Amino acid sequence: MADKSRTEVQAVWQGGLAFEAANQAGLTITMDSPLAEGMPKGPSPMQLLLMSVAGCTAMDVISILEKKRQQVTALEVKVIGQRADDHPRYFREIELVFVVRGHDVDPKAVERAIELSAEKYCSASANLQPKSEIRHHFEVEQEES
Amino acid sequence: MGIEVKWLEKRQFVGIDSTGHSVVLSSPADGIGMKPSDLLLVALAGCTAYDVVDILEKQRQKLVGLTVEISADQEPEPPWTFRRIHVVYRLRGELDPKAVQRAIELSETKYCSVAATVRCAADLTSEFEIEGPD
Repeated sequence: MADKSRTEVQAVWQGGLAFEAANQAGLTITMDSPLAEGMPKGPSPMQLLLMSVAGCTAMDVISILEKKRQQVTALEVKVIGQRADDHPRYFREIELVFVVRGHDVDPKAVERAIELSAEKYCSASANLQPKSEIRHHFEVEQEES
Repeated sequence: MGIEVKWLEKRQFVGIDSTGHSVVLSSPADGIGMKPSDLLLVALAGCTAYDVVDILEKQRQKLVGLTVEISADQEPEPPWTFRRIHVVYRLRGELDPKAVQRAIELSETKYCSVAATVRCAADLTSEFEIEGPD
């Protein structure tokens, strides 16, 4: 098993302002400037940062809700980041809205799962705070049984 | 700025940006996408690499290639916060080392929003190497 405490990634310039990133498993992502001429070749680094926070929390929430035997059929996280006006234009605020769908899903269990991720498990959130204020909201949609 | 992340199945997710590009995220065990903490470092690598290319071009430096490598150590306990992040810039081209150093400094201290954010929790260090244009 790989050393869990160490992570390595690299990004290689592809011309323009596009880069191809790879992790140790060889998985790749192309990123680009949103101001690239024509269509950008991929998400911008700042969009990837939001995906990192959302993905991390979403993964925790799914794991915790499964442990609590909640029957979740779908989960979406919508994320909005508000950037500072001046350079380095970091995210002042990040708002995550979770939409959880399932059968008899207990809103209290969802609330607790999000709290546990935010306060205890999500490494991306831990790295962004205290610079970015991260707020979580959720909605539960019950499936017809 | 907004994005969405949707659950696919097991520990597999897709992230979609505002222009419709998608990125697959997963647990390492699921193996089909990067884990979110890898993506955080990718965002940092992309952000600072972007600045360095942009600044060197404005200074009319002849950059031919650039690879940014990042290694980071996490806390052994949850939430596994990154505490040390080291960035290695490998540049190719006919480049003035002073211009390169200045571009990296400007990115790390002024322009790179991801660096500004993560350095509150992590100690951020860097080095660079220049290879000839061949």
